[in-house]
Amino acid sequence: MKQLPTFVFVVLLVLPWLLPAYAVQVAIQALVLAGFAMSFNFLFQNTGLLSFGHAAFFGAGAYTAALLMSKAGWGYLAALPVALAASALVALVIGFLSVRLTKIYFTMLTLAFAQMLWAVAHRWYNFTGGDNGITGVRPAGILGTAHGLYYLSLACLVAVSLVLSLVSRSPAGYTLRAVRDNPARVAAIGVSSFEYVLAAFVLSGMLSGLSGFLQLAWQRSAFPDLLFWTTSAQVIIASILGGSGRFYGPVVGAAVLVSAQAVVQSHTQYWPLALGLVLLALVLFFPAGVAGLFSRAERRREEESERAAA
Amino acid sequence: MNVPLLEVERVSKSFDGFRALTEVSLSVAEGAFHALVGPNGAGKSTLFNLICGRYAPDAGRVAFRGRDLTRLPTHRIIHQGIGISFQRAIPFPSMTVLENTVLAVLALDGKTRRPWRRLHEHRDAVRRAEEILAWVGIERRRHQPAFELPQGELKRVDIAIALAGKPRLLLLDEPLAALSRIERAHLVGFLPGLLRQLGVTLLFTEHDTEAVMRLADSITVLHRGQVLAEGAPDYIRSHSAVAEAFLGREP
Repeated sequence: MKQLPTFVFVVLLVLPWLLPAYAVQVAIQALVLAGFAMSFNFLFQNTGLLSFGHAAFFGAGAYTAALLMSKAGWGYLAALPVALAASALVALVIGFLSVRLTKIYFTMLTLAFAQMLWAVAHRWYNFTGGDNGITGVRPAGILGTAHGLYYLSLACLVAVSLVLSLVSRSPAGYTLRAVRDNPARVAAIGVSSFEYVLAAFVLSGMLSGLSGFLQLAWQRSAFPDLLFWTTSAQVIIASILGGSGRFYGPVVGAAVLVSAQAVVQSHTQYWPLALGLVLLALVLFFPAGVAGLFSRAERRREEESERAAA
Repeated sequence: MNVPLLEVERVSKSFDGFRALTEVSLSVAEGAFHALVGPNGAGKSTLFNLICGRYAPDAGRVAFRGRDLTRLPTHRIIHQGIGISFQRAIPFPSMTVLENTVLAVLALDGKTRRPWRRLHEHRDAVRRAEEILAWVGIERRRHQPAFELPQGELKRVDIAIALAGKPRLLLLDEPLAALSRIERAHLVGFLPGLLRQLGVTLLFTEHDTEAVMRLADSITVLHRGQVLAEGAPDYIRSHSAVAEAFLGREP
């Protein structure tokens, strides 16, 4: 099982050469959502804080790059550092005001901030184009092709998972889980939890901005719905679907969600209904998510082999 | 002249009009094992939390080694040389016993900020944590997740975490509460020797009269938010009003 991520990575490397053009587009969507959901789940899993406003950082990344490209004539990759900085800054401001709150208050406040940003993007016609969005932004050269964007998205997903796994296993990552487990005890080992949780929030927001930046190249446009609460809901659903207690759970969830949507939508327009039924079944029967199913099967195999050995 | 290690000067604290503490003073000498006793509602926990920096007093002052601690938050107080173990000892249940302790060792040096090297690769901290776990006799449990441990062992992990900060003063809030008789005997058995060896002063609150008499070399009795008596165990035992308050009855 330990080699599984490596195996999946190798499959993903050759995948675009095996798939039809339409499926490559779906695969890019899955990679982008996977990175976004991982960034969201990093915060949720380690700190226990459920953000319902991650669309703010996703949208900030996309809009920053879109504005730089359309208004200032910047190249796509040149806009990347600024897009990441903008997402991090938005996360710093929202995080500073909200990470001290707990549970439902944190969730509602992050939702409120993201909806405020959505309202601004939706109304400010002179700058963001309002609900007409910003269209015709296309990366030049190879990144403008499906294969180019696929490999860029794959590289970003690998980078995001490396960064997040590094941080999770570091003393700082342990400190975050300590804050989640027992905030009073954290103060009593001489650590102020606020700065750690805020730093995790900013990291999560910045990496979500990276996904927004990729999304921009995929849809070649930026619309206010990137900032809408349904975008925030998508990463929550992907994480729960895949299993938010596992590091790669959100990746599994994103892949399942995006492929299911593509299949269902090619047959019927009732995707939200199908999604609702899937979620209902999931929460009722498989609370640990799809990734939880794998580890359950694995545990059963281990138990059987132990029994066979005994 | 010996300056006391910890000095609490005339602190008062009210909650919504209820006077939990009225001008309480207390001083703990270096090397002492000082107990804080009294019936429920006497203000033991309030005083404990006040010294820990969880509450700020309405009036009065707390000083440690001559330094004013009164308005410092808990996480700063730890770095002054005070270790704390709260009443409900649930360290960090999702981590192993060793990870719990390593984290506390790293926190002392401000190394918890590091987001890159793995926790387990901080060799010096791991070695030190293993040493501390051996002191409290729990090193064989080091790879077990904390949530699997029984109360008595959890308490020992919590004390190990408190000792990881190399404190001069250890604060324990009802260390024996929720422990079985055997676990109590064990803790009362090893703690004094360990603290003497490390040169750590102890201030603790406790309900168990017998254990207090065995552990403490000086006792402060609180009653209705005020100091009723202070002295050596023998003196306190002979003080009849104290004996009654101590047992929780009205004098």
